[in-house]
Amino acid sequence: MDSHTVSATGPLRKGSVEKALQLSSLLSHDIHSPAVRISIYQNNYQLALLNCLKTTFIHTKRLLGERTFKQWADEYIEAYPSQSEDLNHYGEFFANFISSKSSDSGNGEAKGSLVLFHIAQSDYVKQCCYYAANNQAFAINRFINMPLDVQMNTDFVRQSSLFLMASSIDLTNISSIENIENIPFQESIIYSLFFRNEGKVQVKAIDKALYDLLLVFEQPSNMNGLNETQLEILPILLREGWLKMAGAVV
Amino acid sequence: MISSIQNVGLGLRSPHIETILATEPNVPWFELLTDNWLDASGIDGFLLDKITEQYPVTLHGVGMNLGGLDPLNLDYLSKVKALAVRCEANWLSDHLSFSAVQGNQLHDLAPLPYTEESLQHMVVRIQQAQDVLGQALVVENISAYLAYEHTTINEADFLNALAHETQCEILLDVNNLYVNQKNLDQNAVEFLNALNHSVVKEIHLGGYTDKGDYFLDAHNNPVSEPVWSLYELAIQKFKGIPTLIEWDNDLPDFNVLLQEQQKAMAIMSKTSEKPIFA
Repeated sequence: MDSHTVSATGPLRKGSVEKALQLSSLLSHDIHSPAVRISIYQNNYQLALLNCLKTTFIHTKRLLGERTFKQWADEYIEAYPSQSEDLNHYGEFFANFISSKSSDSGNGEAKGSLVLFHIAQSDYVKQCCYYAANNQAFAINRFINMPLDVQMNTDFVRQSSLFLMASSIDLTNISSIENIENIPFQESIIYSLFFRNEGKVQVKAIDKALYDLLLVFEQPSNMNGLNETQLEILPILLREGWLKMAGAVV
Repeated sequence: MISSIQNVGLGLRSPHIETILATEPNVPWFELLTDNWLDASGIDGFLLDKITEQYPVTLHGVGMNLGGLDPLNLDYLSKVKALAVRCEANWLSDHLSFSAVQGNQLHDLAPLPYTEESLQHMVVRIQQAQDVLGQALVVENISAYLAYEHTTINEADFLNALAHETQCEILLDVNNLYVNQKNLDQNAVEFLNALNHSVVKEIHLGGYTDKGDYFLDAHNNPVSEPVWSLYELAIQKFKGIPTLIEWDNDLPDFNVLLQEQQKAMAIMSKTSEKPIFA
């Protein structure tokens, strides 16, 4: 393949008319300048990712406002080129990005940046939850009838569609938040579980012990490593279908 | 379930699924955008299964990067293969283009120069993809906003050679021919004349946006009158080839798509030697 083909793609990612002009030798047609032709692809790229961010970060956009959201989204798109064919997961670092933009802008307090981070992260987690793999069924009755030593050594992992967040904002109700300044911070941390119910993502507050135990099962783990309290809670996780056997479909 | 793809189908878009399941329209087949369904689970997975239980489908993707220089993404291909098995896709299509560079996705279809070198490059990659997928691919001609001085082979001959070398088949997008005629001064009729009859598996029709100086292939409008005329020419040559209406942006009511489908059916029927309608 002609090596020029590779260089022709650079400007597609970034708003760089200078680079596009260097491509003039590649173009056989002269109705438009090379820069204009390249800019059509640039615009398509920018628009595809901007629409993707708008769809994922619905609450973040509402709180930031259209203009600021677009400005920061454009900067994010330039800083973080898309690396997956799947646009549904684009925006992985957006929460951190806008949080730091908010700090840099000088008009926000630390609280404002923190709020933005949590709202944006919550938006992203919801998107991940929506597109996560289906829960795998687990034959709990068969497990209960297994010998204790087999039970103790069985590795479990959290179902792929369950996500956790700890925040000083009540994430179960962020659609009711009208503006960043008036967000009620809670005295204590609220632990939230994101899950799918009949195809819709739902968020509910859970207690810390349950949260911690679900965190344990982010990696394949068995009962041998659990403390007494965790062993008492474990049946809840099994009964709710929040765990699956690691590396196996049962 | 009907197992063959025939007559005029429609591109399946999520906002229309409820209507389709509720009204069960008489559409012979749907084409699914591969990349939107790769990880279908939850309600999406449920809807996908419902649709594919009732209608034959094909898969149309944008992520194979068949013309690119990055190694083919085997993880992506294995997901495509799994999806094809899940929905019993009649065939898989992607584009004569590159869509990623050094790991960065363009989310657009960038044109290649048509040379002996790029032909051999595409041949190797299509064969690799077909080996992984376990079936022949269908490759679509793209709309473009630029062309290369390096090009030495016309696009139709390039596609003919590609099909000959790899046994892939061709998805002829008639709207893209018309868009390129405006944007690149390529003669759409000459393209149709040069494309081998035996290689075409499917025809696409869609709507563009007139941006004044150029046409943007936005799939956000009805098929334009000049494209209908071009389709009439195309279907005279490629008789009976299944045709699909694409509409991706500014989606109208599903009935509008049905009207477009009926229009295409009427043209197909008029030019067919034997009756199309059962």
